[in-house]
Amino acid sequence: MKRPGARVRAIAARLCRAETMARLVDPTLADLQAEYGNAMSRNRKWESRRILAQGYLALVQVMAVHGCVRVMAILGPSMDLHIKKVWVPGAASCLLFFGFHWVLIWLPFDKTRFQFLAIPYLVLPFGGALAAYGSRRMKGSVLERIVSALFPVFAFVALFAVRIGYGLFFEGTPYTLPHFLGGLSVTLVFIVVGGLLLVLGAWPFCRPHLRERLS
Amino acid sequence: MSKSHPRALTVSRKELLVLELLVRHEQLYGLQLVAASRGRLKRGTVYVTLGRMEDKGYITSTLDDPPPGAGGMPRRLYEPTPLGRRMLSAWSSGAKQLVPEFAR
Repeated sequence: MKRPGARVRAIAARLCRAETMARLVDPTLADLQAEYGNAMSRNRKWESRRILAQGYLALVQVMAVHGCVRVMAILGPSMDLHIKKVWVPGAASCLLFFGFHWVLIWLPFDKTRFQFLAIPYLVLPFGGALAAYGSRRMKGSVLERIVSALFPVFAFVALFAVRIGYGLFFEGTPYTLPHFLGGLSVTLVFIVVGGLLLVLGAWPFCRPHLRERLS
Repeated sequence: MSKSHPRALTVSRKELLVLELLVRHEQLYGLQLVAASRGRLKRGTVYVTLGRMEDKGYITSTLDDPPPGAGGMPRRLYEPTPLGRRMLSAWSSGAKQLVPEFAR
């Protein structure tokens, strides 16, 4: 019988450094295998399934935490604090929103329906929350947290500006006033509704942290 | 200011907890640490903390023998180094001097 986690370990071994494997992946999988083997020897199937789920979840968590630590180490302590407080959390928020949108585009359903247009808005509070949380972790001020949360709006406006330039100078078909007004209305809706949703998601992380209140 | 301090001289609350548990039990596996911490250490982050502590030289680890007959991967056993023990005792005595309630 193949041990649980063997395939995951083989994949991880291709992606991770030997040190990461020895310190993080292997101990997590060794725990998983030991617990799983123990449960199976007592013929407890449900417990073994719970152990498998917990073990894999722990592995995902380990890799996520390690990934964040590595990224911050690469960015370095000499990196401008403003980048850590605003730009990195803002980029994470953009990545979540545009990544989600990109995944939706690939899903097979009618893309002209209102539901499709509305679904990306649902992820915006989470994007705002992610950015504000990241900024707060870096000890960003409330303003920095809100600015980082609003990054998808800034990106959307920038994309609109790029679209105008592309339409005017590079696109084959002429870029007319109706095209511009259509894009402008979508952008304005995104600025107002999207901005509100982003701030809504960021709001719980904008209150002073308990530690800040105590100090 | 803090950037100029060597990393080995810093210790977080989680690291102190790990040191306390390891000094009390001498040797523990990662999962045993999680169980002994009563929820204060998480399964998904304990190895990241342990790895960082190894880098700082507070703890050391050895690979245990694989379980006989089961054929699983060898588990990693953690124990405190002399530096880790000194750090814990220094922090404890310092905390007791600063906050007398700790001494009770």
